[in-house]
Amino acid sequence: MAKGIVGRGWNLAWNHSYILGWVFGVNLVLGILATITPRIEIGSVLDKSLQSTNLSQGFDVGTFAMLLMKPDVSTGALIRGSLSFSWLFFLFMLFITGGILTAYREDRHLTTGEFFEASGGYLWRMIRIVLLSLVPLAVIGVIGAIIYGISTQIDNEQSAFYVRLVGIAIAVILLLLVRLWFDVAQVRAVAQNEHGMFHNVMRALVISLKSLGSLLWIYLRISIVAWIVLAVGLWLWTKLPGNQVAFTWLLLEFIMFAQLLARLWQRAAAISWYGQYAEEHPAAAVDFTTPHPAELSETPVIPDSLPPPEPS
Amino acid sequence: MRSLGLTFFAIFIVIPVISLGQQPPLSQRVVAYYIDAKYDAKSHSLDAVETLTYRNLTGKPLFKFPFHLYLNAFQPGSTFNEESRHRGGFRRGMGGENNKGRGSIDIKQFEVVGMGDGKSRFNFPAPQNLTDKMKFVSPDDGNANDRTVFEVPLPQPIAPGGEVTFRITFHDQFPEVIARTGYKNDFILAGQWFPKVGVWWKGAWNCHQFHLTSEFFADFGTFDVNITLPENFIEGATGAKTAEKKNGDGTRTVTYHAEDVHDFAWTADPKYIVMNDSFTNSAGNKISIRLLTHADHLGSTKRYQQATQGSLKKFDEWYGQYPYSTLTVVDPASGADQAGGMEYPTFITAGTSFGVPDGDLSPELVTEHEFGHQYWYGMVATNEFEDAWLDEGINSYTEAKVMDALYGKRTSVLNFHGATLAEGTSNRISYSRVADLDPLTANAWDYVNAGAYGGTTYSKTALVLLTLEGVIGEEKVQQAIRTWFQRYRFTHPTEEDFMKTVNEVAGQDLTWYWDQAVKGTNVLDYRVMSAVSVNSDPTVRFGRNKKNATYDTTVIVHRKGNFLLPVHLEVKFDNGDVVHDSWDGQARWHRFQWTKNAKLVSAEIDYNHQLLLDTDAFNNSLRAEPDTRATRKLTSYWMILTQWLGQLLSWLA
Repeated sequence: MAKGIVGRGWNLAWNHSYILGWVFGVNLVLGILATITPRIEIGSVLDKSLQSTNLSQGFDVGTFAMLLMKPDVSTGALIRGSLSFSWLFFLFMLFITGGILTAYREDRHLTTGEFFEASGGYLWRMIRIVLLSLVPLAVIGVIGAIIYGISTQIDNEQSAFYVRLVGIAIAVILLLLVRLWFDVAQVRAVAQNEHGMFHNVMRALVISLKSLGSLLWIYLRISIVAWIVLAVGLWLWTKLPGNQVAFTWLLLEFIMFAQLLARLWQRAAAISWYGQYAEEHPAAAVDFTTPHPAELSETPVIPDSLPPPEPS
Repeated sequence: MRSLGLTFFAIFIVIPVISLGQQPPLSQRVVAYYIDAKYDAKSHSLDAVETLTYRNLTGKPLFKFPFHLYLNAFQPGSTFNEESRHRGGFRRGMGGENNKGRGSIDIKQFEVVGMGDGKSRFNFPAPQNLTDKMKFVSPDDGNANDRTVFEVPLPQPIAPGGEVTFRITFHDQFPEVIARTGYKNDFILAGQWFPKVGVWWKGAWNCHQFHLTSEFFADFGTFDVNITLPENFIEGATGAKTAEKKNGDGTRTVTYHAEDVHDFAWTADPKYIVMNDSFTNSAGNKISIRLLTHADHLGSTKRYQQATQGSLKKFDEWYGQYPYSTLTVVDPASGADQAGGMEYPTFITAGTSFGVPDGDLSPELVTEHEFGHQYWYGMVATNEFEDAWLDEGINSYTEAKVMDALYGKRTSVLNFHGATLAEGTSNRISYSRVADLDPLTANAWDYVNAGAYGGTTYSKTALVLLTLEGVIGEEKVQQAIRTWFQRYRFTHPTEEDFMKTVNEVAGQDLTWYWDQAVKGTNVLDYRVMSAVSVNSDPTVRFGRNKKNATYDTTVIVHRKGNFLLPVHLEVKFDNGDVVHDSWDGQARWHRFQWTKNAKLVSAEIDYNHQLLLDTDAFNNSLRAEPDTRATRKLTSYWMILTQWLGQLLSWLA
């Protein structure tokens, strides 16, 4: 099942590459906007100084540190600016999640109006799901802190290092589990038109736990692809000469693109998985506590033409 | 005739022959310590009897003696603790009450057991017990809660040339490792662990309290130390091991002997792994290098050894021979970082961590730095309390020279996948944050905070000497440092001695430089204020006569700071011409002008990049046309960082 789902997820994400294009475009534009002030401030120090060759020909950490110490470069304000644009991207993604899932679920090119209508329609539900997801994330944070605390008590640095490594691996797996759980909840919110988000999240937990192995395997495989791209990309980056600014930028943007693609691929895979799950377990997919069963049925598919009558 | 013949025989034949077999002392041996110590590894405590003989070479009768009791710094209310609470820094304080950071040294009994005129020792009929006469004093800050220095009056003064022998019974309680001493599980580094007499210096006793931002000062002499330890502990110490015996009760006693040193430290840990190595100096003497490391740091073994070998070689080549027969390099146990990065005679502690990448040269750097202290502290034994720049600073300069020579001038601190950091730049960063706060001549404990102490004593001194290379030449500065070592090893020279030595080698009076760089807080910052070329022939502006166009090029250099130094300028033109010019740097600004058949490309002061004291390297040059490559590179990274952060957050959505 998992193999087919990963492939179908890929096809779904790729067939709706306009979504990927838009998402990446917004990510890129916000990144560009975040560089306007740094370009002015850093440029005022570097552009006319011969000292800038220490940064254009290689990366002299000392020169960079001294640049940040210059009063002309307001490091704190730059960081705050960058964070603001990052949060904007988060809000944007939160907003369009409903639209993305609707497009994937219906597997058709939504018009702009339809896309944003779906985004707006599901926004409050998505917000509630995110808020609920903070609970298990906090638990993972506590687990991480405990593992780190244990590692600091170990005298042997090598052992402590491996304990931390295992801790990171555990945290990554737990984060993936939480993500797939809440992805299923988001899918259900759209597919079942759920309104009670606590119930929805709990139902998603039950469903996810029932198929934990296959779901985790789906997510893990997509994540591994993303991590390989990231690792190879970063390795290539270290091999590029320091003065190859354009190539470096293109490579790093490719990595950013690949990471976004992987995330949308996971969402698409979740939609595909849930579709199949609902087909196989129609009763289990539908929450018996849902108050408006009438809204649960999918949009009826009206065939273009009626099938020919059976010959009598 | 016969007696004359015998005298001749004695002077010219016998004495030199005897001397050949027995090297003359390298220092005036003022003190002779005999310590018999028993370490209890369970309670991390030690009981010892110290017999100290002090020779009065002061030329004056001595009535009282001050002593250091440094382990008492790790007590609530101590000056060290108060300073660490208020000033911060690398050597953190002992924290709250009843924690493991508490340490102490208690004198159980203090006796005078002998006094003499230097020729014969007059033992008292019975030892004089002076325990009740000991009095804690706080010469630096009057802190009544500080018990790191005590004074004791003698029953009778010691005449010039005379000597006195003390017998001190004491008990140490080591803290969990803090500020260069203490234990971590089974690991122990015993530094500043015994009552140590002050130094008669500049006509008075010099015995300072234990401070957050200061190290130590003591007299040269001999040490004979017996340490009784659990049998399975592997130990290392100042000097050379001369004896070892098992006691049959699960302990063994090791004896170490050291000559012409002014301190004694030791370490032990059952988990030590010993790596032996050696170095033969330019005189053909072999130095045994003993590395005491741990299993989780074996990846750094080669790096430690290479840094030690490289440092020994460069110091031997540039400044003089390392005269001792041993060098112990200690790699502290995990979690005992505070024991790392410290120097004691013939004994240094380094520091590394598991998996430290090759491009991060911190293990090499700390090893080189602490080895350098064998010269600047160990042999040229300046007062680290009052003239900290003479040991930490000169050592930072030689560290920069050695690290640059061994690991590359641009990559002597970091060389990691294209990211680089040089010693000079690293010092510049530390210094420029605190450039106008404290002069180098400030007492170590009088700096505004720990950052100012580090940025000034370490980094500023290195920059002062590197910048001086730009004024009198690298060779002259290196020669001056060599002379400083050769002339003042095994003595306690002053900062005036140092400046006089450099003046002498430079062949010029550099008082103007010392006044600004050492005694003052003057800030060096020259900038190219403007650099432009304009057509000198107005007709060219209308498109005529372009081929023979001439341009008036004007460069204005501005002195922003209050540090005055000659400035050298390099101007490049678009026809390939390069022009050099100079300015004495006295006025606030200076205008340079040229008329040429070429336009300006760039103007740069300090074009050899030698005035590292200049706090702003960016304004030392101006291009006629901007080069935006670096800005584009940095902003593209910034952009990626923002996108990545956005994606990370959106993972929650």
